Amino acid sequence: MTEKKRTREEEGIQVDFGLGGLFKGIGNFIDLLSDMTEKGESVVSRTGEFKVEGLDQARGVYGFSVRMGLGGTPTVEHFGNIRATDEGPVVAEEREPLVDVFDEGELILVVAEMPGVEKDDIQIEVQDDILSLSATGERKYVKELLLPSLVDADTMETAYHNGILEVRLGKAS
Amino acid sequence: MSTELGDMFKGLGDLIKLATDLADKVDLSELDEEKIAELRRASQTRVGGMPRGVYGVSVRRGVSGIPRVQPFGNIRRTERGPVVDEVREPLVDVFDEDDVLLVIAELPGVAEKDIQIEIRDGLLKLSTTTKSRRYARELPLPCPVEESTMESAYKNGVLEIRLRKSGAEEGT
Repeated sequence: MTEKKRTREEEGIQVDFGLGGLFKGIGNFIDLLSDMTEKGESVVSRTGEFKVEGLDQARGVYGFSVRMGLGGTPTVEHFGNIRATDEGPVVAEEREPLVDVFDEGELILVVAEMPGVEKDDIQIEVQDDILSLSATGERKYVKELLLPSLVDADTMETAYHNGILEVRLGKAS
Repeated sequence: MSTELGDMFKGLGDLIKLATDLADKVDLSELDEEKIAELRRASQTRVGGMPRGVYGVSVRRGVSGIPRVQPFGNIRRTERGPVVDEVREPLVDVFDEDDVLLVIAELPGVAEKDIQIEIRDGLLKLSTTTKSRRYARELPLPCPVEESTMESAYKNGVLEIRLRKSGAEEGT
C-alpha cells in the first residue's frame, strides 16, 4: 500500500465498509441500466431506425467491475467496447477485457478475461510499469494498464487457459 | 431515429460518463483507520474476501434492427441496495439461424466438465460448479426446440450450444 493511496480526499464519493457511497452510485447506475433494458425490450416490436456507430458490425458490451483493490481501496474498472464520444456512444471492434491485478508480494499477477481467442493470438508487452495486452483473431481485445509497481519484464510468465490469461511479473528490485 | 431509441442511447452515453465519474471519485475518503485495516485484511486474501462485483450490458442489433440490451454480471438489485453475489450471470447471445438456435455464452475460467446445460419448459439453464468461478443463467428460448438435438462445444472460455427448432426437418 502506498502513502498516496492512503491520502484522504476532500471530495469524492464516501466509501464505508459496506461500500455504501460507491454502491449507492452503482445502484443508480444499475437502475438506469435496467430502465434502459426494459425500454429496449418494450420497443422490440416496433419498427424504427437508429444508429449507434459500429453496431451493425459488432456487438456492444459495456460493464464495470468493483473489487477491493490493492491496499483495500475499492477500485472500479471498466471493460467492453462501447466508448463515449462527443457524438454519442460508439461500438469499437476491439473490446477492453475485464482485468484484475493482484499484488502478491514479490509478484504482480494480472488476470484478464479474454474468451474466444487462441493463445497465439495474444500479444503482451511490458514497458516500465505499463502492461499492454492485445489479441487479434475472431475476437479482438486491447487493454493498457498501469501496474502498481515497476516490474522486471524478463521475469514474465504467461498462461492462457479456458479464456483466461494470467500474467506473472516479478517486481523490479 | 425513433425518439425512444435515441433517448436510450443518449442514456447509455450518460451512463458511461457516470461510471467514469464513479471510477475517478472512489477513494479512501472518510474511512477511519480501523476500517482501512479491515479492508486491507480482506483484500489480502483472494479467496474468502468480498467477491469481485461485475455488472454490464451487451447491446446487439436485433432481428429487425432494433437494439437489444441484455444485462450480465453478479451485482444484483435488492431493496437494501446492490449486492455482490458469488454467482455471476454470464454474457449470453442467442442467434436465430433458420432451423437452428445458436446460443453463445462466455464462461471464462471453468472446465468443460463443470458446465451443466438443461432445457425445461422453454428455458435454457446454464450453470457451473467450479469453486473459483460460478456462473448461472436461465434464459427463455425464443421458440420451442428439440432437446435431443442439442450439441455443445466449449473452447477458450466460450460455450456454444446448437438446438434444432421443433418442427424443423432433420438435415436441412
